[in-house]
Amino acid sequence: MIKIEYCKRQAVWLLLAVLLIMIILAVAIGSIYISPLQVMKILLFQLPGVGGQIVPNWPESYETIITLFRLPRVILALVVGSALALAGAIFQGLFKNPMADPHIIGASAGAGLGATLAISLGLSLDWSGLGAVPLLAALGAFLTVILVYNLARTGGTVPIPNLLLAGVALSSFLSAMISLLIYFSQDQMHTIVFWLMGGLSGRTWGYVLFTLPYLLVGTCVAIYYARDLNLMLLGEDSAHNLGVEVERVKAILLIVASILTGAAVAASGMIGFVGLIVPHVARILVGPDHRILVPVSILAGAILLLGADILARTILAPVELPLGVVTALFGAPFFIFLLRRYRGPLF
Amino acid sequence: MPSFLTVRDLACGYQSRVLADLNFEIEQGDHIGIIGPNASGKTTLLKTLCGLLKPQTGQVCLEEMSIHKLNSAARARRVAMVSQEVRIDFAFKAHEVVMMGRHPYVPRMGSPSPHDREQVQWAMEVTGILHLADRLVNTLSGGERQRVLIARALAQEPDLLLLDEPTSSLDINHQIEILDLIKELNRQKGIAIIMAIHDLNLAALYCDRLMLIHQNRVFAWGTVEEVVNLDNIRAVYGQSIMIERHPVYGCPQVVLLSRLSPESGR
Repeated sequence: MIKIEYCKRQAVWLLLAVLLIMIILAVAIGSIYISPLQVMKILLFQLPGVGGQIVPNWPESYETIITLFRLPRVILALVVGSALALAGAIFQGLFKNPMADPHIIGASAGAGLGATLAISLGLSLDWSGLGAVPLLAALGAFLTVILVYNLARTGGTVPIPNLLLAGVALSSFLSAMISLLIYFSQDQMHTIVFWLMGGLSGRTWGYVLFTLPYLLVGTCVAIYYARDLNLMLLGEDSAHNLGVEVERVKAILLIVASILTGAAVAASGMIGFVGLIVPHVARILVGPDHRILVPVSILAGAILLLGADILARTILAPVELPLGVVTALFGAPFFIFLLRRYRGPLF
Repeated sequence: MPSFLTVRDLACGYQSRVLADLNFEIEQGDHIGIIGPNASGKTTLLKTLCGLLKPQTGQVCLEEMSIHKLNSAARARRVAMVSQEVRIDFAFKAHEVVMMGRHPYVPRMGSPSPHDREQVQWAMEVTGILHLADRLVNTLSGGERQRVLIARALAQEPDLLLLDEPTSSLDINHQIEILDLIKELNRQKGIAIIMAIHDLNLAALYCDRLMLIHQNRVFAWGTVEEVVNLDNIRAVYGQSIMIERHPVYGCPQVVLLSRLSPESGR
């Protein structure tokens, strides 16, 4: 028993190590290759306290490339990947449904509609470096979830099947609205479709600052309620009898997961599959206990999306592939491989 | 001295009213059986007694405190419920599930204290599942899973244990095992038991007092002798019934009769 707990903790450290290596690789790879050793030096040089120990022996342009272009994109990939994976883990736990993913209760469709509106109407807004697209996307996600939650409510409770059905129905409605908008805005069609496919090109620190707080708060809330989520996996009634305030926990976690999804979609467009498969992979690795499942999902989501973004940038360089296409193109076969290898019940 | 559990003018149900005019008192250490036909409201009553359903009128008081006004952790430290047919599809280990019973005691973000671990150990010992501790609950048999869930309820250190059809999905040998276990807990630990059970013979064999529910009302409430008699049982379940005595314990037992005439039926 102790040995297994130890193994699970090892998994977290292992994932952290992989993530660090991936970050350095992701910063190194690009149209101008910078060696990983130099990347490490330049990154450390930026740190207050440590930086003084390092003598700069690299072209100044490298520093600009790294701090202004590559690093924000890499960090955003981590944040978006973690946010989607965390939202997926929360939804799957709450809904006790292996098909649940961040898109399931309509947050992404709402975000998509918000972004599509912003592009097709040519809105221009500016709020701490963010344009109309991410702002309207976040607003769309938030409004959709509030609507779905209220549609699903009967009396004092929000039954899960109602929530799923209301979410799926509203999602199709919003998707139809998106299609309609695309159909009538021929000029921006390319921009909208490109945005919807998801990607991180040209994202600046503003996007990181916009999404990171949601991820931090979301992580804290998810870990705070991890034990309640475990109890709710075994049934809402039994969780109630064990002292969990089921409806309150459900409302809080739903809102947190939806906001995480909205923030991720607002920053990067529709990136499928990460939120669906990462929690499953994490469950295969460490089991269903959310106290360990949540951190492992967050790390694995960051690794997966960062890896996908490296692929998206390099496979057909200098042409960039849409990130959402890459995650599904490589994620789906990987997941099917896992399904075939792992013979136990997955969920 | 107030009764341990007092139910006053209780009406309960979902949108429509399932049960009304419930008034009864239960003392510490009682072993109560709730019997009645399918859909008579046994589960609804249990769900109301454990605080899951809000009463439509009236109240349920545990030593003067309304159960529905206690905060959830305080309630879970006094009242535990083993629901019917809890499916567990998730790969938790048996000891992890039993530890979930300590949820109302272990502080948030904290880890279980030695006392928490002792209680889990004790609960698994009395339910005889120590050897299953490291097994995954989704791989256990029905009887084993029922024991794990009873152990989880015991880990809550309840004064009142509610059980909804604790034996309905079990083979007869496991039915006896589980009911013996419940009786022992009732006798040795003084835990008050209220269980819904559709098997009249098991109810008569194990319970001190029975409540027969029929047509939205308490049809009969009292000792086994007062409730399981020909008039009551025939009135609720129909005519094809006889009451016999248990050859060993002497308590009333229900014997079923075929509705076909003896010649054509057998």
